[in-house]
Amino acid sequence: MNTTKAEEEDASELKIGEDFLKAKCLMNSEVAILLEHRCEQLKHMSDDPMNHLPQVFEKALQYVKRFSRFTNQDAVKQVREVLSRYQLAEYELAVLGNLCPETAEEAKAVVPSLKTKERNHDDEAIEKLLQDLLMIKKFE
Amino acid sequence: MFFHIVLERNMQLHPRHFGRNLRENLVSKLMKDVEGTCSGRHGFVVAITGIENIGKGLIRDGTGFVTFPVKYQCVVFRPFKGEILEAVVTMVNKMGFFAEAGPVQIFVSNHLIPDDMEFQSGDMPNYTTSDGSVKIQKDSEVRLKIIGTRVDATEIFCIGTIKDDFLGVINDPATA
Amino acid sequence: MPRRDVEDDDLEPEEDDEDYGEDQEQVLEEELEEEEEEDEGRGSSRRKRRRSDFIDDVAEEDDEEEEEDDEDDYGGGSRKRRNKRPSGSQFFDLEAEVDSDDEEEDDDGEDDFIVEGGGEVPEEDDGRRMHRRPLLPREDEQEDVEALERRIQARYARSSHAEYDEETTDVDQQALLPSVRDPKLWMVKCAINHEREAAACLMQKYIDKGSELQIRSVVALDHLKNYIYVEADREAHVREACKGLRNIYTQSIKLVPIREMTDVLSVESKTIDLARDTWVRMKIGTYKGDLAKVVNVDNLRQRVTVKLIPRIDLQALANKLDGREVVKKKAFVPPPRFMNVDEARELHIRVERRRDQMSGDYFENIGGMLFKDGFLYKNVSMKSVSSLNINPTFDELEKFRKPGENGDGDMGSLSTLFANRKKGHFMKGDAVIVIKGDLKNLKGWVEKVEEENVHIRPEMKGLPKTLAVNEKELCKYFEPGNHVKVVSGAQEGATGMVVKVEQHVLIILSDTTKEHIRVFADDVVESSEVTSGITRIGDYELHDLVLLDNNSFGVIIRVESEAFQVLKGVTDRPEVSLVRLREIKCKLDKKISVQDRLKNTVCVKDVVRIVEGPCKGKLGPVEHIYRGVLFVNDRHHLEHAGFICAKSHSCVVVGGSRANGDRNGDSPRFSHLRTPPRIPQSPKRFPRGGPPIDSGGRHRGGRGHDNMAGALVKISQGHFKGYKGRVKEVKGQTVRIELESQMRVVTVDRKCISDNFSSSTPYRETPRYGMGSETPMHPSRTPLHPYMTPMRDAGATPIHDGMRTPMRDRAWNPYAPMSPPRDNWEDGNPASWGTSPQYQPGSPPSRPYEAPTPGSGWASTPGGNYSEAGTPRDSSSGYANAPSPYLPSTPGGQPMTPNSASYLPGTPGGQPMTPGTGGLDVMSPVIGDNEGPWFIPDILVNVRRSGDEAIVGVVREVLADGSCRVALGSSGNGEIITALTNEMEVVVPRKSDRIKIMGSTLRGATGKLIGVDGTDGIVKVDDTFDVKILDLANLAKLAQP
Repeated sequence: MNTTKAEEEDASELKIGEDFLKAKCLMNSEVAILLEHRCEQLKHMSDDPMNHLPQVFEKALQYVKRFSRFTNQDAVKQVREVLSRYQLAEYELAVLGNLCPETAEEAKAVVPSLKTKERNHDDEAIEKLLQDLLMIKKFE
Repeated sequence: MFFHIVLERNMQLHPRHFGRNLRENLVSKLMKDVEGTCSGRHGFVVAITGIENIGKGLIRDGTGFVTFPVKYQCVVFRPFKGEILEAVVTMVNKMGFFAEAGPVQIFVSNHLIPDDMEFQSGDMPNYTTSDGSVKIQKDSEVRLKIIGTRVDATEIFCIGTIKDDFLGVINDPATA
Repeated sequence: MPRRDVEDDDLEPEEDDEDYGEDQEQVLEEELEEEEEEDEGRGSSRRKRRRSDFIDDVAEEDDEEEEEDDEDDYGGGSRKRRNKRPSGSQFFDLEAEVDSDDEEEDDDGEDDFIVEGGGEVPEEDDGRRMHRRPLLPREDEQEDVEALERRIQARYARSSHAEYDEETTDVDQQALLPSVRDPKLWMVKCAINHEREAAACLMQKYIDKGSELQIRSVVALDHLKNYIYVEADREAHVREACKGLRNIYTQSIKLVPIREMTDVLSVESKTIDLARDTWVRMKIGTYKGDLAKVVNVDNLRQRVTVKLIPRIDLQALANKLDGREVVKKKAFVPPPRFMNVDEARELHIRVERRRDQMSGDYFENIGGMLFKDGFLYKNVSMKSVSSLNINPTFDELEKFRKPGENGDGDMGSLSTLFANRKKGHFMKGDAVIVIKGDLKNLKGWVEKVEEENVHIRPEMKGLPKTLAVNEKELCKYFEPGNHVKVVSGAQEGATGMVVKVEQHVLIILSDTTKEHIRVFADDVVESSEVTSGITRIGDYELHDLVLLDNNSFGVIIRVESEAFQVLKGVTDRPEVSLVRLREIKCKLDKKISVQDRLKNTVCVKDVVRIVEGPCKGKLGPVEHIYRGVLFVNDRHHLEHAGFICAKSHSCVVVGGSRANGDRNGDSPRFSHLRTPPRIPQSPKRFPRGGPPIDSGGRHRGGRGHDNMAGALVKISQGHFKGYKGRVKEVKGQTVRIELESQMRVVTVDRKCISDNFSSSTPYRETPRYGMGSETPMHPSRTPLHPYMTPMRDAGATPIHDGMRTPMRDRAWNPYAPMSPPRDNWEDGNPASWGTSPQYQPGSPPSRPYEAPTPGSGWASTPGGNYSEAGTPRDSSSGYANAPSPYLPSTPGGQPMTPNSASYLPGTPGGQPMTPGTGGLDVMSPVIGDNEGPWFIPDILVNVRRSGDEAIVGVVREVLADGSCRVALGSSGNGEIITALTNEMEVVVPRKSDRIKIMGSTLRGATGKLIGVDGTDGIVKVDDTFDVKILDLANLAKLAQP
């Protein structure tokens, strides 16, 4: 039973478990904003530049800073807004926002669930989506 | 993948902390208790972002401790099998390489590195294609796919592959 | 199963129980009779009992009719007990039957037995049997052999009855294993090659003499020369039976250990036919244990030709062939090496090349041995090879394929794998793939296993829900990324993630070594801790500390499909055991703190370094504490999920700040988590030459038994009375002490030591037992000190918490540079309890300072209930967070009561409280805010920065962020520094000290501590002259102006 359960977890098929399907996925860029905000607060509060943050926090912050495609808060908002128009699952949205694929083919490779479902995700729509992302990036 | 989820936890609080600051005490205890922890189910709790609800406390018989069910929102990082993400290479050896995506460590075995990439030992061990055009070494940024996860004491350990389309070194992380 | 239970009862040594068991059995039998109406059925059910049972059966069944049943019973009984003696070896089966049969006669000939056996003291069991055996009419001793034979045959025929086997479950089988109560098996020497004869002689003797012989069976094994086995209750019986038989030598009769008894009589089934290309192992000779491959089978002559890697010493061979004297080196086995013909020729060994007529292959013939491609081809008897459980390792297989044949699929050929499969290879839930037949490559999951057939739930849609597939057509299936555990073969026990699948060979990344290992898919099972994120079974979760059945404890380091791997709480070496859910008694979730080597308090989550023992040098946070054992998690520790088990006094708290912080919070985790952000800040170190506080100085009066380790003690009683020494180890009621004068370690009862030899009274000893200090004994308080009650009610209670109050703990700590650690209590009131040496720990607490007549009642009973008192820890450990730091001030007084139940009489019992809810945005938690109130100007604190040295100082100012400006020195005339909250510990006031109240409504008020009661201080407030009872944690010593 465990085995089958394990078998079922597969992000490429959007099998990420109840808990997370309902949850809101965050793009790295969004997390970066959140964590930085938090970091600021902590610093502010303790006047301690050498503030000692939990390792997990530290690592996550470094990571999202490094892999954020968008840094501008407005841009990040826009990304979510734009992507939300395309009937994407939260998870798909976040992956696309994180990886910013350049072609429809790439997009489908990184988010295989795009092609599995009979959703209106023909290549054209995907290309359009990617274009939108690119635009945001450009004007950021 | 990062998620913003609501979790619940029963917090035990010593009566000493009751009073005006009860709520603050509870919250700061919660943060201390929860942030940075890791569970197989929810992954790493990176940061608590808000409290949804603090339930009614219940005194535990015989101790005076009071248990409060606390619902809180938090940012978690949970890797999934099949997930494609980017990571930083932290160590390269002949077995493969280790990469980190936030708090998560990912190992990419040499069996899961494209066959045309060969291990080069030396000061800066790396995997390089025969034409030398692509190189994976410490601090390289790679895009990889997680194919398996294992929950460990304080971490989630994953193995990944870059042996697939659109995976591998990210050429120019600045613009890609 | 109930039947077993009954049996157990039966075996109970007490007669009463016996009867009871019998009654039950009777009832049970009736039930059985109802259930299984056939007589046969009943017989078989009863067969499942062990033999010793049958005797009781005899006892209870006194009518002739049942007697026949009985025969069946032991027929079956013995059969079963022997673990299904294979029918292959007819002889001894028969033998056994005869024996049991005769035994019956033996039973019948009861009277004789008693007379004869009178000299010996029979086992309880035996004795009982004797008496209870009814005086059955003696069977005709001349019972003719034919009848006997018929009976045996009838029984024997039944034993091979298929149905019977089917009924048997593993559990039944287990139950049938011999126990101490069963007759024993003796190994008796006999003339070589006359084993069967010897057995037959005994049999004959038995038939002739019947009851006189008290042996139960004789077994001669074909493969065991020179010995036979005799089953009997005692050695004397064997001797008696063997007396006069010339080919049996009774000089050396060896008892076969119970564990090995089954091995003696279990015979590997010979069902596996040797086929070409199967892997076998040699059983005897130079090549014993070597892997070999069958190349030819001659079923007729029962011989096989096997291919081996030769172990030939060419030089020796050359010498031999030259006719030179060969120096026989015994026990020298040449290493396996491929035969190199050229090398042989160089040594002038004649190499003939011949063609084998049968196969047409060419072989090199060297000294009568055939070689081909470097391999030795050897014709051996089938008996000399074993084909079971070969499990060739990769190394071996690699070797085999070396010359020439390049991975022609030879490696671990499937047929061998199948041959090696154990029964029950597939388990429900396994992912499998069909490798043969029409359904080839179909993947699925095992639903049900039925003998050969495995029912699988196919992955592909459109197929029936389940399909039955022959086991041989299935192979376990794994995908890269699966997390697996190797369950057999050389890598057994390893776990890892599959990184590559090469047909039925997997490459796994080992969890522990992070290396690749190659294993057969068949040898691994998917371990459920993986991907699915399953980390718990039932109430137990990964990394929980659990108490096991046998009272051992450990931390769960891995959760498997049905069991946990538990790292046991033993410190000398890591011990991991597989524990099933039902073997776990409970989860241990206690907040305990202990003291480390330097007597610093260690709480959960504190980072410690292990400074001695096998894991020396490891560093990590403490995850669990129990019975003085720390479970430390070192991320860099590759084994046991990073967990290391170490004695608390083998560890040193690193940084120390966390622990200090802990004392500010109720739970260690809480507080330490609150403080870490500020930890790194400690640029200034105190000069080493500062107040001379050594580790002893931090001794807080060590209540926990662990705390005693390292303490200097004096032995006050017994042989070593008067000696001083250092405690090396505390074990239950005994203490190992290294004597100072003699350089040796002695073990003494802990009653016999007084660890504070400098003190005039041995009172100190009691507190040690007195984990009670951790559990203040409020219940007893009121009656003893009635006058206190009102006060307590007056309002002190809410603050008062049992033990955990941090302050106390921290304050306790190095009391001050000027006072050696232990005189704390000395001025506490030496007089009052100094008069009560060894006062009885279990006695109701008396608080000398309050009760005007302290020790009187109980003081004179030295060393009374130590044992009782010595164990309160368990019951009270829930409170044991801080090891009773303040104890010293109430040394003898209160620690004893292990009663932990209601330690907070004043707490509003049970009403749920509803603290404010509401939507505070916690993005901005106020860190450390709640620490503020604890510090207050003008109190004495101990400032500790490096974690090792503490300096007393006076708080001058409390800063906004909780940190304080502290003037060093007890009178505050030293340097002024800024100390963080977690670097300071309030100095706990002693009796008669001037104090300042840090908490409660009286915060800021000063007063005098006129007494200490457990965790409470009795304070006379300066302004109002009121006497209040306040939690000691809220009190701090006021600096002298």
